[in-house]
Formats: sequence, C-alpha cells, structure tokens
Amino acid sequence: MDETFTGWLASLSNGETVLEGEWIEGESSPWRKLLKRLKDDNLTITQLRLQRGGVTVVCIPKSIGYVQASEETFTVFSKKRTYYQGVGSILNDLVFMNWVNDYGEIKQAVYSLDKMYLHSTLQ
Amino acid sequence: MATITFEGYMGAGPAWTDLAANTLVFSSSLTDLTAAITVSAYQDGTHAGNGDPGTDQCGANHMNNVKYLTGSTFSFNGAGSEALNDTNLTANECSLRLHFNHSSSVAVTGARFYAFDGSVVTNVATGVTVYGFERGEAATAWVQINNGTTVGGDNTSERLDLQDSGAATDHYWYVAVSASPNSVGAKDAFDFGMALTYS
Repeated sequence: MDETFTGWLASLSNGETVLEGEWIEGESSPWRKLLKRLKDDNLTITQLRLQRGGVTVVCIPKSIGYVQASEETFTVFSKKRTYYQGVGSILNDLVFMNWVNDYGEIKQAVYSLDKMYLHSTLQ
Repeated sequence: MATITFEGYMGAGPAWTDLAANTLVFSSSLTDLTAAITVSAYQDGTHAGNGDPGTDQCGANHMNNVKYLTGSTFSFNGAGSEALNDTNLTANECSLRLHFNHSSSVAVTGARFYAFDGSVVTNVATGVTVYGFERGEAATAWVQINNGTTVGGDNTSERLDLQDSGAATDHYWYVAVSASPNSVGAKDAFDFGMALTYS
C-alpha cells in the first residue's frame, strides 16, 4: 500500500480491498457509500485500517462489525479547531476506537455501541 | 470540507449569522456589551463582540438573551418568567444556533456543547456558573454545564449533549445558554466548545 495514502482501507469478504475515495459535494460520504454497498451486495468487512499522519492503525480482524468516523471540534472564543479520523472494532456491545489526527497523534476510546451505531457496519 | 459555526439571531432582519471572528459576550444590558454582571446574577444581554468584549458586532438587532431564572424557567430579552420548553422558547429565540456543514452528506452523533477554561477542553471554566438548554428534544429544564469549580468541561454529565442527526449536509442545534459570575473580576478562563462525530 502507498504509505502516502490518507484514509480508511477496508478488506471485504469477496477478497476486494476498498480505499476511502473522494468526498463528492452533495453525495453521501465514502463510508456511507460503502455501508450501502455492503448491504446491497451482501458483503462484510473482514479487516479495517486507517492511514493518517504517517500512522497506520489496524482493527481487530473478523470483528462482528466495524466503525469509521471523523471527530470535529471548534471553540467559540479561542477559535481552535481539531480533527481526528477513527476506526473501531465492535466486540459485544462495545466499540474500541483508535483516533488519529493529521500529525499522527493517536487517542483511544471505548464507546457503547448505541453511541456509534449510526457509523457502524451493523446499522 | 467540514465547518462548525456558532450563529446568533441578530443583525438586519434579524437572521442567523455566523459569529465568525467575533465571540460571545454576556453583559447586564440588552444593548451594552460592556455592562458588567453582578456576582451571582445571570446575564441580561447576549452579544457578539470583536474582543474581550471589544465593540458590539450584533448590528441592527442584538443577539437574543435567554436568562436562567430557575431550573425550569427563563426570561426572554428581559420579559417575565416563562416555563422552559419548546413551545415557549422558539428556535429563533435561542441564544445560539450551532451549525455543522459538510459538503458531503453525513450522519452526526455525539454532538455536545460545553464550557471550559479555554486551554484544556475537559477543564472547568473558572469562576462562572453556566446553564444550557437544547431546544427540540422536549426538555423542560436547564442543564448545569459549569459551576466554576467542580462541574464543567467536555465531560459526561457536565456538558449539553445534543441530538443525533441523520444524513444531510447541514445540521442545526438550537441552544440557550445563560451564565453568572461566581466572583468579582474578569473571567479569562472561560470559553465554549462544540464537538461531534460524523461519517
């Protein structure tokens, strides 16, 4: 894989690897397009990775489901903006997320599935 | 490209307008953003200022002021007490409209609005008590999001959790916010933030 690529990479149950594509104005996000395709073609993700800021994080293989999302923050007075992109593995009713920013800084968090369900392959 | 904007219902019209480079100023006057608030009283004016506080940037109409009276009542722009609910506080009467835009269609979860010290998002804003309310989720009570000492910051149960939003390019949350100084003097460690998750 090209180490300069930035975004998520999903291995599918049909052997195909899908890379996060272009975000096209007015269309669904690349992740939401993939979620639709999984349903339409009866496919599953067998592995999910994220490359960002020179770092690669790898989810647990063959989890019951996966999550991909972005986190955006902004402040009123100091006008500070932060952005992280994350991928996560679903185990039982928990989501184990790894978040990475453009500088390769990683933070980890655990969420109940209901908080991340809209971003998951289980929806 | 994603953007979070904090908007006030102000200016000509009035209309929801991005605070942009300006900031949110609480004062004891509907028209004068420099009027200091007495300790333990809540603000009587909400304004867009270009500094701390700087000069007023609201334009022809000032931002709406929603003042905390009790845990379940408010005063709108100096009027009498009303029960806090979605009927009495209309969308265009709220203090702020939080607006998330993405050029692509995305779903949003985990949105929240919080007060913090301006440095670390999980830290309490110093010396102020702050209440928030999100219109549109049938709530009837203010939520304390900062008490100046032990409650505040982007922490569970110490922030205003906002509704999830389905796939769209524009997402809006209507919020009332009211603040009171716990002590005399400028409140330099006091800021607001918003965070959300989308895909």
